[in-house]
Amino acid sequence: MDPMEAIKQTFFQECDELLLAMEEGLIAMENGEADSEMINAVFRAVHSIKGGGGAFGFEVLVGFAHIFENVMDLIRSDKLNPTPDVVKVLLRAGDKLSDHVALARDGGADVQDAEVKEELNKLAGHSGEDEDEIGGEAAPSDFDGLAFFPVQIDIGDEAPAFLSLEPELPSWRIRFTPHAGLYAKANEPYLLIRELGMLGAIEVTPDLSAIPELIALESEQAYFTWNVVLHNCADRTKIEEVFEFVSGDCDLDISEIVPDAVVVEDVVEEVPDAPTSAVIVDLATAAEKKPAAAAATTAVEVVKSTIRVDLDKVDRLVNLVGELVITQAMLSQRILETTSAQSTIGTGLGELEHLLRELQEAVMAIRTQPVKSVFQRMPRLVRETAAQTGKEAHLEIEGEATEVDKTVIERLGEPLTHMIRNAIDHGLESPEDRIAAGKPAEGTVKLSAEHRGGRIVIEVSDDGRGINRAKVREKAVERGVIAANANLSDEEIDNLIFLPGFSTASQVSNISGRGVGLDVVRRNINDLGGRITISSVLGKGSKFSLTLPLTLAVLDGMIVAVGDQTFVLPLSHIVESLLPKQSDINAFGSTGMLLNVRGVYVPLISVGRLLNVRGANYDVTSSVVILVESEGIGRMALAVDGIIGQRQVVIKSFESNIGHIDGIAAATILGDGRVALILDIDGLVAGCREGVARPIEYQQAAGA
Amino acid sequence: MDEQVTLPAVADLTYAGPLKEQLMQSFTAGTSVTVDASSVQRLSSPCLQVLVAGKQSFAKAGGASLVIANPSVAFRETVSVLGLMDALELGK
Repeated sequence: MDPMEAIKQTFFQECDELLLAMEEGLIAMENGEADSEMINAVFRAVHSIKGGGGAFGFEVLVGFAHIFENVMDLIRSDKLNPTPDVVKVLLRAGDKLSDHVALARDGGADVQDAEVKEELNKLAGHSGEDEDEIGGEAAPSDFDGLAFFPVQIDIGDEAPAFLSLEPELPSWRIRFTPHAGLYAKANEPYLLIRELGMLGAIEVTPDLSAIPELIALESEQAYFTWNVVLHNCADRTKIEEVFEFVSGDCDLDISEIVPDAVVVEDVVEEVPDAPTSAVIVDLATAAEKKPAAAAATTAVEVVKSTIRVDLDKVDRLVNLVGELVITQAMLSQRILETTSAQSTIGTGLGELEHLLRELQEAVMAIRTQPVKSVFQRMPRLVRETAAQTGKEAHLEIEGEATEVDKTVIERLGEPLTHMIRNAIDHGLESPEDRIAAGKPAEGTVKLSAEHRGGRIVIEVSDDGRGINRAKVREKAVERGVIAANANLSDEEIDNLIFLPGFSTASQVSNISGRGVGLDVVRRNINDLGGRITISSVLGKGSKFSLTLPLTLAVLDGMIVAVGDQTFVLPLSHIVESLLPKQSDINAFGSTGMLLNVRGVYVPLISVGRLLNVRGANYDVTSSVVILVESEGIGRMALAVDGIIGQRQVVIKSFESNIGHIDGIAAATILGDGRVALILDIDGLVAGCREGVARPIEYQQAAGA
Repeated sequence: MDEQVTLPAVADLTYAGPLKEQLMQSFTAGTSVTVDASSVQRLSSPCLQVLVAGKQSFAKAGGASLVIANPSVAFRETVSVLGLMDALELGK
């Protein structure tokens, strides 16, 4: 990649983060919870996107961001009240800004922003007279106005545009008050602040409140105080080093600016109605202008530092710890085989195992992230979908701080998008219907996440009409999915909506109803080792629950023996295991077999025969049968020679070395040092449905 | 006739006292003063304090004014880093 391209990549990554911050701020404003810091954050986000976009020549993006920024500037300088109507325009402007960023990144159709632009211009124009006042404040006739003027300065050898593009490093608020001694020793604030500018972009605001009348001024006294906001500086000690030589001759207060810091004036929550909140925002902004208040604010901010680590490094660490756990298991197995279990070595080994488990958990925790990053994209989705369908919807989010592995988060976005669209398009009724049913016109979609029993549970619920089972059933019969006289439980009917090509929407919209949606959702969730369930009450609403593993790096598996090989079956797919009776097994076709499980026939497959395992027992009557649920064809019985046990295994992917093999998901190393293949149930089932076993590929994998 | 004060190349702490006296003379006399900053190579904060205080006092009293003329590159650089461009009414 050429360097410019790499920088561009970084810019877009940062845009994503900035857009999230902006959205968060705007939503807080919508709820009337925004303080001046938050409004500033939105302003800065828009400003940074504009600045970066300008550096790459994205003129359309910059043009739009500029108008948006103007309006935000009016709000942050108290020239425009963020009333609910104004915030609505801002939210739409935010959506358009995301579109502009996406357009700049991926290309595609032009963004239709004329309408929003016009509204923004209207907002900006509305307070045009006020703008003159801003100019007036700078005039010398108004001394109070002189007290605080932020000046943005970019100094340093690096391209200044990029300095402001690194929002992930912490920002610092530095209050620097030189004493007379500092001047007497011929130290100069100019040089110190310039040095700060070398560490990152700075905003310098002098506090002139202590400057006396000229007549009262003593030339050797010190009256200046500077408030400096330093962006993108990783290290506090670097800042302290700048002031090292003057530390005795000045008052210095360095505090980190935490964007999410809870500010004390946050009384708004109790009174969330808009006019009140506007007043509070006014107060907060006004307060910031007074240096004393600014100092008070800094005291509340919590210092929390983070570092950005290359994902490869973390993965290496996870791998190493995995190896360590395996080695420990091997070691303890060998030692316990040769010594008596009573010996002190056994106790030591126990402790080691315990520590290793903790270590593994801690390392896994590094990869986890709050689901917030996915959840935050949803409010916009709700707004847009509601607008497209002519419904009124409101999104409630709960548990967005719940943490889950990064790989899971990355793959959560698509299914959630489908489900939320589905909830609004199919679940919620039109405002008229809702009122007729005695519900508020605005529907509620609730998105929540929580940890439950070592897994994460994500729920999407709506207070809409619920699943109309009669209609679903009718449709299923019509499509030939079920027989007209089939006896299905409510739950089974509900699950029909996950079938490919199934939709009860009488009209196909461009949102949902094309029958690609819920089946894709289910496949995505299954691919993640998760499950999806529905509960629905007609007229009251539906709830979709996703249960997902916290990580994709370890897996709960059942260890089974087939011939001289050991395999791992993912526990999430296993329904039950049983010992079949001869009478329950029926031949089907030339080689096929069916197993009668309490009156239901499921295909029975011998894993040993399918994979051509040496020494495997081909006689299914003396095998153990494991009933698995696969996404493609439902239940299926797998015959194996025996069950060894159930344990957590560390997944070792071999796709990068020997490519993808149907039927085999990955490998793991067992406690005795042997390699075991983890079976991919869906692939296995699909493979034998085609009637093609893959013994050759399997042998390659086993021999590797 | 306006008073004219020319800042030296090195406007350090020792110059802050004399500068204040010069500005005070104009201030008490009620005459406007133009501070020529064209030759400044080094500008200290104590001198800046005097200039800012002078600026404020002149403006408050009304009538006469204090204007900084022909600021040198070094002068502008120092003032802008310290965020005092607006306080001294120097355009960007």
